[in-house]
Formats: sequence, C-alpha cells, structure tokens
Amino acid sequence: MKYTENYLGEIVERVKEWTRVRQFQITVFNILLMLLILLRSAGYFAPYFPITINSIFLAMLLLSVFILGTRSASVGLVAFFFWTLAAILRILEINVWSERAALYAFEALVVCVLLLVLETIFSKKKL
Amino acid sequence: MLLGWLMSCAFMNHWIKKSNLLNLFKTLPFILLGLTPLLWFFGKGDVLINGIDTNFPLNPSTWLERRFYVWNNVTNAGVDFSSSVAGLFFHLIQFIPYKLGFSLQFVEIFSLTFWFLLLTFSSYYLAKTIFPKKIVVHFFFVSFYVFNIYLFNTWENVKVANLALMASIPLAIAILVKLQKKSINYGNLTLLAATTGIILTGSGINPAYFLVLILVVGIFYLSLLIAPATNLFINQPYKKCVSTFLKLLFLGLIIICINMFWILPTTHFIFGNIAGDKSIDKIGFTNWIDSLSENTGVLNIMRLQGAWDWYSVDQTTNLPLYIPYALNYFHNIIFVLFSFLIPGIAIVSLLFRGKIWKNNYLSVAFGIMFVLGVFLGAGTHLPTGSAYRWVSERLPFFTLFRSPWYIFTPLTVLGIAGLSGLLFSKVLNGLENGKLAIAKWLTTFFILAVSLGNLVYSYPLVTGKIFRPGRSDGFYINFPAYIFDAGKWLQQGHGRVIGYPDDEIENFHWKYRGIESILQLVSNREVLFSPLNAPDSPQSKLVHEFYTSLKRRELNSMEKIGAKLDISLLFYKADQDSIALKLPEEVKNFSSQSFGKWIFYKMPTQANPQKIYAASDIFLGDFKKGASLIGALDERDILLEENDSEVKKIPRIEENFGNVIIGKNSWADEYYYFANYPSTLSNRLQFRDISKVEFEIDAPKSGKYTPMLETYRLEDFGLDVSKGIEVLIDGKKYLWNKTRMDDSYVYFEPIELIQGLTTVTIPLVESNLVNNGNKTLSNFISNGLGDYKVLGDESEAYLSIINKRAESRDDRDISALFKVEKFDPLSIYLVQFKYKQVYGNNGLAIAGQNIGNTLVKIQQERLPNYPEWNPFSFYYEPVKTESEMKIELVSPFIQDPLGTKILYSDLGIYKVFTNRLILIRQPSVLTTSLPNLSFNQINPTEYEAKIDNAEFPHTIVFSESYSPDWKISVFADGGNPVSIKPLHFSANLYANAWYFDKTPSSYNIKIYYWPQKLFIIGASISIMTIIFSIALFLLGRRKRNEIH
Repeated sequence: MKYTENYLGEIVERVKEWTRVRQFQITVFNILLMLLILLRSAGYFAPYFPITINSIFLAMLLLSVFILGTRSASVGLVAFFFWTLAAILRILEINVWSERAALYAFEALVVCVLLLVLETIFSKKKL
Repeated sequence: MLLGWLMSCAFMNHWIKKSNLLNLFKTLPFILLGLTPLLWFFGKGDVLINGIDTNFPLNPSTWLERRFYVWNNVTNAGVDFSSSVAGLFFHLIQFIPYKLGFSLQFVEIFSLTFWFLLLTFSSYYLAKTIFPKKIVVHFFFVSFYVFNIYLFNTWENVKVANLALMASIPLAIAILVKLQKKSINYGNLTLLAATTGIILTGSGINPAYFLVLILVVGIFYLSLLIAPATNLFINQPYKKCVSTFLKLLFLGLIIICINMFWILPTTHFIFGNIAGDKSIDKIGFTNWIDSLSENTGVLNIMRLQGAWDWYSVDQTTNLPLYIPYALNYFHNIIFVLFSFLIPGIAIVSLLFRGKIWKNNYLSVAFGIMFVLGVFLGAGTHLPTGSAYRWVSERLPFFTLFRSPWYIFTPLTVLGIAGLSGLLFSKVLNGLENGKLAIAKWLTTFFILAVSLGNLVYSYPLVTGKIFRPGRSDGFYINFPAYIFDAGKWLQQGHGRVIGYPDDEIENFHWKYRGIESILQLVSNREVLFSPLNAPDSPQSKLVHEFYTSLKRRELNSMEKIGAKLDISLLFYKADQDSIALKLPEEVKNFSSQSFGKWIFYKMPTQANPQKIYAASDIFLGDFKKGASLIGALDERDILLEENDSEVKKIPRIEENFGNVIIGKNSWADEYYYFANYPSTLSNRLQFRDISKVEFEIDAPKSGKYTPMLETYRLEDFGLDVSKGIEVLIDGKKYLWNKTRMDDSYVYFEPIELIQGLTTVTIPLVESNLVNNGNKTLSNFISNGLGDYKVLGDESEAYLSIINKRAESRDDRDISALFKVEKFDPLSIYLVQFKYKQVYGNNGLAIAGQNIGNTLVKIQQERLPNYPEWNPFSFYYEPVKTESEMKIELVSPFIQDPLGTKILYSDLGIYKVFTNRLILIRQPSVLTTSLPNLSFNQINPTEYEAKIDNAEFPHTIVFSESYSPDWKISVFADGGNPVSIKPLHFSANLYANAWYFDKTPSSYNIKIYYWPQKLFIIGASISIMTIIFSIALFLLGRRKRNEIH
C-alpha cells in the first residue's frame, strides 16, 4: 500500500513538474483547442472544409506532438483510453458512440505508430 | 488439463532444456491445434465439406490436370486461367491420397489437416524465432494467429490464396529475422525460402495476396533498417549492409522464381488484357467494393469482424441470413468484451517498449502492420474510405483489390498477434530476474487464459460450426451416387453442357449450393451457366438468350444459339430447388440419358456444328445488340462486328457479307428507360398509347431485307400472320405477307430499304387483362374492412374506397384486388388507371406475384396527392415463375378519424409488345461450297485441324472465348509451314474467327493459346529453382559435416 502511495505520489510530482515547465505550451495548446471549437460552433469554412470534432481531435493530437512534445507512449495511452471507452459503449449497446470512440482510438494509434517510427529512426540508442 | 500442461512446460523449461522428450512435449499442444479439422468431421458421417466457393473437387485428378494449362476450357466457353494454375500445389495435396485410392472424405480431411498444421507450425516457427524460450507466448501467438475470426471465412470457403498467404507470412518473416540474427546457416535458409515459395504458390490465385506478402516483408525489412539495434546504417559498415541486402534479395528471388510458373502468364494477362483504370469493371466483373465495405468501420475491423455476410439479416426477424453464430459476437457481453481484449493488449504493447531496444524493430513492424491493415481493410468505408477511394481511382490496377477486408486483414492479424506477443514477452522478461515470483505465475496464467479464451472465442472454427451443420445452407454434403456416374459418362462425349434450371446459384435438395455448375466438380466436360460474377460478359448474354428462347418454347432459335455455343447437352436438374419455369414438353422429346434425378437431353444433331468449323454465310451487325440477333442466324452462319477494324480489312466485304439489324422497339425502349433510370413522376403521370408499336430501323446499306418478326404470343396483340400483317413504313401502308414460319420467327417477303432510318409501325389490338376487359372495376376482391362502392354511370363508372379508422379495425391499408387473367410470367406488363384523392392519405397501387400464399415479388407505386382525376401508369416485369399476378388499388390508413377516400377508374393491364423485328440482307454471293474440316483437341490450349476442299476464301470459327492470345499457324499437307497470316477477329460476340484468302485447297492449322509457353518457361524456372535450393541445402550440410 505504502509502495503504491509512494509510486502515485511520484507520478503526481512528475506531472506537476512537467506542467510547471510547459506552462506556456499548455496555454497555447488550450487556446488553439478553444479556437478550433469556437470556429466549429460558428460553422467556419463550411461547406468547403467543415471543422468536425474528428478533425479537431486529429489536429490537436498532431499539435500536441509539436507544442507539448508528446511521445508515442502518451499517444498510445490516448488510443488505449478511447479503445476502452469504445468497449464500454459497445457493451452498453450505444453503437454509434462506440464506433466514434474506436475511430479516435485508431487515429491516436496511427499517430502513435508514426511517432514510434520517428523515435526509432532518430534514437541514438544502440546495443 | 491443457492449462496445467502448458504451465508445466513453461516452468520445466529451465531444467530439462536439451531433452528431445521435452521438445516433443512442448510441440504436442501445437500438433493438437493443427489437428482441428478432425473435429469438423467428428460424428458427421460420410460427408464432404463443400459448396458455394469451397469447390472441393469430386474428381481431384481432373482438377489437378486443369492446373497445368493457362486456359480453362471447362467454364463458359473458356477463360484465361493464368492465375489459377497457382493452385497446383494445393490440388497436388488432394491428388496424392486420391490417387493412392483413399476415399474422398479422407482426401478432404488430409488436405484440410495439412493446411491447418502448416498454418500452426509456420506461426509456431515464427513465434519461436521472435520470442525465444517463451512457450506460453508461443502458444498465445499460435492461438491467435491460427484461430481468429478472419480465418472463419477463409476456412468456410477453403480459400487457397488466403491459406497460402497466412501460412507463408510467418515463414517469410522468420527468414528475415534469422538472416538478421545470423542464427541459421545459408543452406537451411535457402531451403526455408524454397519451402515458403512453394507454400506461397496458392496466393497466385488472387495475386493481390501475393502482393500483401511483399508488403509484409517490405514493412519488416524497413523496420529492421531503422531500428537502433539492427540499424544497418548505424551499426554495420556499408559493405555489410549491402551484403545483407543482397542475401535478402537472393532469398526473395528464390521465392519469386518458385512462383514464376504463374507469375509469368498472370503478369502477361493483367498487363495485356486489363486496363489500369477501372480495371475490374472493364473486365466485366462486378465491383462489389462498396457493398463489401458497408460494415468495415474501424470498430469492426480492429476486432476482425468485417466480413459482409455477418451483417446480412432477415428484414422481418432480424436474424442473420448466413452466419447464425454472428449473434453471439454481436450481443453476448463476454464475447463483446473479448473482442476488445486482444486488440487492447496490442495497443498497450505500444505503451511499454521496455528498457531494451533490442526488439524495437518488431514493435515498429507490427505497429505499422496493425494500423495499415485496419486502414486498408476498411476499404471505402468512411471516414478512412475516402483516402482508399482516392488511391483506388488513381493507382493503376488498384480496383483489382475489390475485397479489401479479405485481402488486407492478414496484416491486422499479424500486427495484433505480434504486438500482444511482444508485450507478454517483455513482461515475462521483466519478471525473469525479479523477486515477485507470484507475478510471473500470474502473468503466465493470464497469457494462457487469454490463449484458451481465444480458442473458446473462436468456437465456430474449433467445432466446425463455420460450416453451419444442420442448416439448409450448411456445407456438410452427402453427395448422391448418381452424380459420380454422370461425371464418368460426361467424360466420354464432346460439346458443351448447359444446365437447367438457370438460377445463378445452384441449390440442390441434398443441400449442395454452388455459384458455378456442379458438373465442374466431377468432370472435365465443358459447361455453360449463368455466371454470378460476370453477368455482362458476351457469353453470359448468349447463355441468357438461350434460356429465354427455351422458356418461350422458341426451340428453333434456341438450337441456333446452342449451335453457336457448341452445346450438345441440356442438363436438367430435377433435384434443384428452383422457382424457374418447367422445362418445355417439346424438349422432353429429345433423346436423353438419365442418372438418378439428372437428365441429359441431347440437342438435335443438326444444331451442333462442332467447336471448330468453316462458317457458311457471314453477316455484319452491331455486337451491342448481337445477343438478340444470334438466334435469327442459321447454325453455320456467323455474326461479325460491323465496326471491327480487322473485319473491315477483309476484301469485298460489302459483296461477300450480309447485314443483320434489329428494329428499335418503341415499347421495349420505353420500358427500358422506365426500369433502368431513376424513378420520376413525369414518366408515370400519363396514359400510354397501346394501339401500335413502332420499330426504328437503321439500315447500314440500301437493298432487299427480309423482315422476321418474333412469333411469341402474337395473337395476344391481335396479329394474325396467316393473313399477313398491315404495317406503315414511314407512314405509308403496306401488307407484309408471310413466306414461312417456325416456332421462333415469322418470315415475310423481302422489302426494299434505303440506307438510313426507316420507321415501321405495326397496329396492335390489345385486350385488357383484368376484370374481363371491363373498365368499370366491378369485379374486385375487397381486401380489408372499408367502404367499397362502384359509382357513376356505365360509361364513366369509378370505384370509391373509403378507409375509415372506425371500420378498419386493425388500423391498416385496405385495397381492391384484381387478378390478372392469362398471366404469362415471360411478358412485361403495363398497368394504367385514373385516380382522384378526395381526402386522407396518398393513394397506392401495388403490382405483385405470389405462388399460393408465398409472395414472389411486389412493386409499390405511391400516387401523388392530387384532388382531380389524374392518369397514372407504370410497368411491371414479373419474376419468371409459375405464379399469379395481382393488382391492388389501395386506400391507405390514416390516423385522422375521417379516414382516406380515393377514387379509381379506367384500370387497364396490358402486355408490353417486346417482340423483336429483325431484318436480314443476304450476301450478294451466297456460299455454295464449304471446306471440309476435321479437328483434334491436343489439350485445352492447343488444337489441330485439317481443312480440305478450300477452293474459295473462307472463315474458320473457333468457338472458344475470344482472346488476341489465341494464335494460328498454317501448315501444308507435308507439315511445312505456310506463310499465311489470316485476319483474326471475334465472331458470334464471343468466339474467335480467322479469315483465309488464297490458301492451298488442302492444308492444316494449329490453334494455340500462346501464354501457355509462358507457363512452360515459368514452370521450368520454378523446377530449376527448387532443385537449386535443395542442392544448395545439401551442399551446405556436406560442408558442415566436413567441418565437424
């Protein structure tokens, strides 16, 4: 129990430190996210390029790589989260939402694999 | 027990590592998994698994024999068979036990078990290579790779290409890994590559699968290149990097060379015969990509549930039409949860790469395969489908990938299996030296539980439920003995066999169902049938025309079409479930041979001019309408395309060849537009003129033409041809006198036509087929409670139907029902009436057919809201079956208490005059003497013929499907080649013909399909490569022995 508490505590500390270092980037990220949602709610670029929630999700996923320096494992976590969500929704027979959650999971998975490839290529680690 | 066994294997591993007994002990679970097909037959009796696409040959010898030729003469007048020769190894596995005298059931069990074991051991081999010393991970990898939903369909139809691909992928990857690890000597590696090449041959049946293997190997190789541990550019000197690449190339070449026997002819066929753009449509195949991609959303694809047949449900009961067990996967919570579990584990694998980057290339490779497999497998399903479609429209030949889920899902399967295996391997590695022994036990237990859970999850594959035992559409078939007798008898004769009933899917009482003729399973006799896959091919149109003539009892025409198709037997299947019309009594008078419930009627001899013959009179016509013209030409007359550039090169074409044209029937034309264009009100809100039919004739040349009018039920239109018929030609009255008549056409005296358009009008007297021709609508049957009244005076009587909620107790539509008299299912009907919607809901007219209480077809026409008298008409094409036709004029239900009131009047139902008017201009010089021709078939790709008495220019017809690859060589009697290059063109829509001018009076010809030479060259390369690989292996072994 104590081990778990310590471990969780360490994670919280690391997250706090990570947040403190990237305050500016997180602010920019959130502003962009809000901007995209506002543009969507006002129907900008429609019908030529309608901003959908799906495109916002994908754009923010990609932007998180450039702004926040997200690594493949973190994006993989997003994929896993949405895959679990898809499973829960499917069990509840809310199939449309489940389909959508699975799509987000797949999009995150694509970005995760892309990042993995890039990380592998640019890794300096050797045997 | 199995669980305990596997766990003991896992933990005993460290203390008896080198024991052979342990190796056997470890291998036993995999052997057991590989023997799964035995379970499929357990307790089923003497049955075979067969039907639809499964095509288990009932005569494996003939099936193997076909795989030695790149032209299959058995199916629908012959078809290029280049890719199908790839099934050689697959059918060899069936042929060996069959030739050794084993029963067909044993042959099938042997073949299925062979492939199952192959799949199991190739995946086990890969698992051992990439996850060394982790037996539980091996078990998981094999369990998922061999038992998954994707393979349900593969096994259900015993898809050779899928099996070959799935079995060879693990071996190909193992080669790469072993090459990189240098854990195997070069001789063994060569033998492994050769084995992979041989197993892979089956994928050539659908070359897209072969390309998938190249894609998999490419992904793996790229991953090896970029991963830090194996990065050739970082860790190895340039020379070594090139050397590794060259070794890989060499091994790849071995695999490719072994497959050369099908690669050479197939490449020639694809690039020589198929257009790069919209390839699949242009070769006449149905492009079903959109319908197949209907249920391939990401959610389904990631869980491997993308097969279209899972989602076909009965509209009324909502139960699956084809896959009964699909319901468990849709609704059972445990199954639904499990469907997410293993892909979830694969995703988690990407979160934990571990501290060791040694196997990072595996994560990269499997990760790419997973996402690429899902993306490509989704096909045109949105949102990813728009990208797929974009590629499909721009990348040449990409439309050949018309079943994306079936082709690309092996990538997904491998990706998931690999990633999950990696995670388990990493976790076990992490716990290897740790203090938490219990964690290792729990992990092992979890992996085994998932593996065994996967076997339970795949229960239809384990138990054989994929073959739907006990259902009417099941695959367990007990073949009656008479079909084998028939097969033997058919081997003796010549000429093609055409089956009847003509349903695209054969469905026998004894449960066998097939989309091609069953005769192909038992003999090498050439057959014709309605092809499901290529309904627009010329052969298909001619076969359709043959059946139409047969059903209409136009036997003369039927025999002429039969002669063009070289039909010698009409095969009547009395044991087929079908609603097709009964075989005409006249045919039953033909001489016949019976085998149980199968009867083979011999076509009259004069209508069978053989496969190769010298044409009598030659006619030019439009091939687009050619199927309608063929039945009007005599047995040995032939039809050539008037715009064929090769045909135009023939000298004195105008004198020597006649013309045959068909008048454009105004009524048939109108029906065609009605049926084939989007439904509009403008072509319904009108009354149609039924008093005449107009034929628009476009004469290509001025001259005398003989009019031929189809005789089918002319009397129904008030035409009495015995007295001649009155016609209007461009508005002027003429009397056409009959010269002769048969059961198909009535021939009139020749008329003079001037080149260009001419209109022939034939007045018709049509009788109303409802209510005894009475328009007062009094003789109806009321259908439902309501107020039905015939009102108005006699000349303007109308029917009033009021559907009040209070009266219509069960809140439903009510209608007046009229039965169509003298109903003929082979005719098309025009229904017209007037209506007036007084109040309430919109009116509705329903035309339909039924057999007793069984509904056959229904067509509903909603009437637009209109408060004045309004004309309305529509066409109805019946299903061609013995049935009753009815028309219902409906007063629909409405919630409003006032109800609905609709008035109807002037109901008329008439046959549509679709009879053909064909005009023939005879050649100026009629053929008086024809050369004598005798021929001999050497094999399906080669024929020899001897021609005598060839005094005049003549045309030789070869009734196999046209291909520019059919070549002809001419020899003098002594056997010396003669330098004649006859013009080659297509005849009778589908066949080959050569025009000969200035030949010796007696000569010989050889007709051959030249891509067969590519097969022979390719097969030589394949055999030499196998010998070379074995030699290299033996050499390596000898060297090793010498060193030791």
